[in-house]
Amino acid sequence: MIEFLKMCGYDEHEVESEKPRVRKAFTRLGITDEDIKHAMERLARYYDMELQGVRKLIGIYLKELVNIILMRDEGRKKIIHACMAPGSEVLGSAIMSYSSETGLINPNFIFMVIMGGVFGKFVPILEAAEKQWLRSGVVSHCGMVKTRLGILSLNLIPMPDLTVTTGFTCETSPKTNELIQELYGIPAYYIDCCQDREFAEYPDAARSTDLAAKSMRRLSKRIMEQTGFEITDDMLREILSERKAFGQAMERVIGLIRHSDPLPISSTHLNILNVLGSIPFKKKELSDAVDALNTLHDELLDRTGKGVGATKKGAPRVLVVLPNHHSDPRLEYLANQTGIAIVASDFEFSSGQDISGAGIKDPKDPYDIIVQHLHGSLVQPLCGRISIILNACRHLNINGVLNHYHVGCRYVAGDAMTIKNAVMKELNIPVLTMEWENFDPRVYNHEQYRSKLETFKSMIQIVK
Amino acid sequence: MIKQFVTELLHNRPEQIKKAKENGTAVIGYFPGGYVPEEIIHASGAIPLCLCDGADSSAREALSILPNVICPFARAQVGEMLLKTNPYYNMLDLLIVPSTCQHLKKVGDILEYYDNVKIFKLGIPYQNDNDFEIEYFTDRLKALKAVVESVTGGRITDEKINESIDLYNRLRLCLKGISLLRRDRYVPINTFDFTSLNHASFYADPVSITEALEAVYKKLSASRPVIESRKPRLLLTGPNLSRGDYSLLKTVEESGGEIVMENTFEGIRYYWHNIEKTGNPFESIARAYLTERIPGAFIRSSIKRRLEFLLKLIEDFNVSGVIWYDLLCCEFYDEESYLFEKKLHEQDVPMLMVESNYDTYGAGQFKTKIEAFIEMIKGGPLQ
Repeated sequence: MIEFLKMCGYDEHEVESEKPRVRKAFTRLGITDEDIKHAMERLARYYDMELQGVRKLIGIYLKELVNIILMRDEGRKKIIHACMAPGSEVLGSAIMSYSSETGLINPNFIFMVIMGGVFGKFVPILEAAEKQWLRSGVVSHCGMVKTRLGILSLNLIPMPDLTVTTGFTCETSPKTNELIQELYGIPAYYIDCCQDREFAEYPDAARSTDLAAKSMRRLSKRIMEQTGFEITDDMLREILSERKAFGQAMERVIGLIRHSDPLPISSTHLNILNVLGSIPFKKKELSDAVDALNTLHDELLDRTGKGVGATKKGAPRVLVVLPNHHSDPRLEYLANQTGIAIVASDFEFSSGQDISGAGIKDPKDPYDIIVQHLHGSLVQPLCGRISIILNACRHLNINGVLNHYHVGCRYVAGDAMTIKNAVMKELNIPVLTMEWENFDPRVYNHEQYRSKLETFKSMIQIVK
Repeated sequence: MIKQFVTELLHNRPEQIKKAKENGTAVIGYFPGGYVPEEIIHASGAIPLCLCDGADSSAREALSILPNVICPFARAQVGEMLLKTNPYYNMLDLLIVPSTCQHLKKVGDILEYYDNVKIFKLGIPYQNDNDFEIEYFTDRLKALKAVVESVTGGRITDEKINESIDLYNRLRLCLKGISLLRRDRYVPINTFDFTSLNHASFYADPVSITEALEAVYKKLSASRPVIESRKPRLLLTGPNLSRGDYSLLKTVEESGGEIVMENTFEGIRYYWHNIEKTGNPFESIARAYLTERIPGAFIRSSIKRRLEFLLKLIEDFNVSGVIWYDLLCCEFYDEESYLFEKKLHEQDVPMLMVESNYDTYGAGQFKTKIEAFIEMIKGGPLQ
């Protein structure tokens, strides 16, 4: 355990103070000493653990996992569960920073990174959901939503007092929370939005953001009704300010990865970078996250200077459509082994808030700022999304697009073939389109993926 | 009688629409589900067409640009546009796509990208219990009015909208009246005929179909009892029953069951609730469509109200069993079936879930399931 915690960036003092908490949390999760040994092997294999920044990032996820599991034991009486509710992390940071009795958790990505990526023990969580109403099979329910139901039904998280989700691009998520309300008695709140943007309006999203901002503000009211804790605008402004520093640190790291040759870090890390912001950090934790990112940035800069990387210099530069796998690093690892440098995901890009009229309308309204995520590629209508992908490819000198569409999401799966047609037509670069599940490790098929990636690489080299 | 009636009603309809279009009348299509107010289209003088066809051929055609996790109804809408053989889908000056479920929204996205037809995406808030959501929908209805006016070149007045509300209220009332006749033990119209009438009402001239339905209602009411049904009385519920997707209805009939009520979200007209005119017609329509009607399954927190409605239908129509007719990959109806089955079981109402992809690959299994279900009901405690 001690070696494992050190590997995860815990310092000597933290190892001593945190060990009992980690042990308690692991007992609830069913994690054994054998699992820890296995996890250390996986970490060494799939992640660049020689980098202190990576250790610290993994440590942040592990600490958050322990915090989530022990949250009620440690005094927070009312717990709000958020999932697929972008923006709730800001409200969550306010709650976690200013309240001692109310907490907000956004556990899915944490479980995916630690139970999936690190321990390789994610499948039982999905299977628990499949035993209930998110059955397996052709219907292809989303692994993200299965995770929510799985960890809840297995009692891996404290039973929440309120669930929050959106459904901007999803019916499964809100429907699951509604069923949780009916069957577990946990009330649900849904952040409203309306995906009726037309391409003629692009990149303006004011209609969508206005509605979502009103609904987010209503969420704060609902949280007060449910828990007694009031989230004020001043709290949110302060959190947004702190988060701005976090965002800038992240941009520096991501920017370095995108623009360096060779790729300075294995593509398996893109997942842990991309979802880090979903954690409802306390203010102090935000500083720790910034420190981890700055450490990583410096280390990557050093690697870049030395020409050290996860792939050879000149390796094909690939953009992935949708994020990298959230609970299983094997595909990205295999891609790098094959000699493909995954440098970014369309998930990281958005339509231009900096373009006149497209972004924040009222800078004094924190909710207007929070809902700007609606400019993101994932929640764009198809034409807007294609525009973002094409721009990203041009901007990053991309040689090929790995168009792995998440079968559990109708909204993005429906875009896949048209994205392929558009990229090939406009940019004349190879596109590998493949159906997969962003959250379910069971989709991994080594031989099939290896064969596809090798062919993809050959096609890129021919075009190049 | 009804089959012939529907055939005659629609026989010359494409030609009528073509001629009207040549004379400058706009044709405006929209997708079903009960959220696009046809009253606004009709008030503009345009011809409203609710596009609800669904078949294996069109659903398969769309697989060239949509994966099979998009439901067959949504794929069929894209497929019809690609095939270009269906006259109703080929004459549109504007297509209104409501932002209901993800599948239908994706149809709007795809058709917008491929530029098959001018698209208006009608935003439906996912909730309906806050003022700002009603306001949003009301605003979008006003935007719809502006787009329709730009397409037709005419002006839509409140007076014209109110006249159209009256007309469609009459139409809905007729369908409801005919449907309610099936509460009796004597079922004067079978599900196939009722569904055909309902589907016809989407394509036929609204004045003609209303008058025709009024005549049908009078005739059916006067001639009761016609058929004394001793078959198990079934209720069909689910996301969709499209025009042309009648294999389930036939299978149930052949297996000795009687569907006495169809409670589907898309594909049949939502005729249960009319619009009450109170002042501003946009507010009346917004309220009626968004909050007063039984909500679609995509509306958040809709289960309770929809379950209550379903249980009331089961009671009123003396239903012995429910067939949950899901479309393949319709993820939220699939989820709900778990809860509804539990809740119906608590009321001693058996439920059978069947899935369709509009193809015939699973026809044998489909039939076997329905036969077994009907046999079970016949021997069950409710018969």
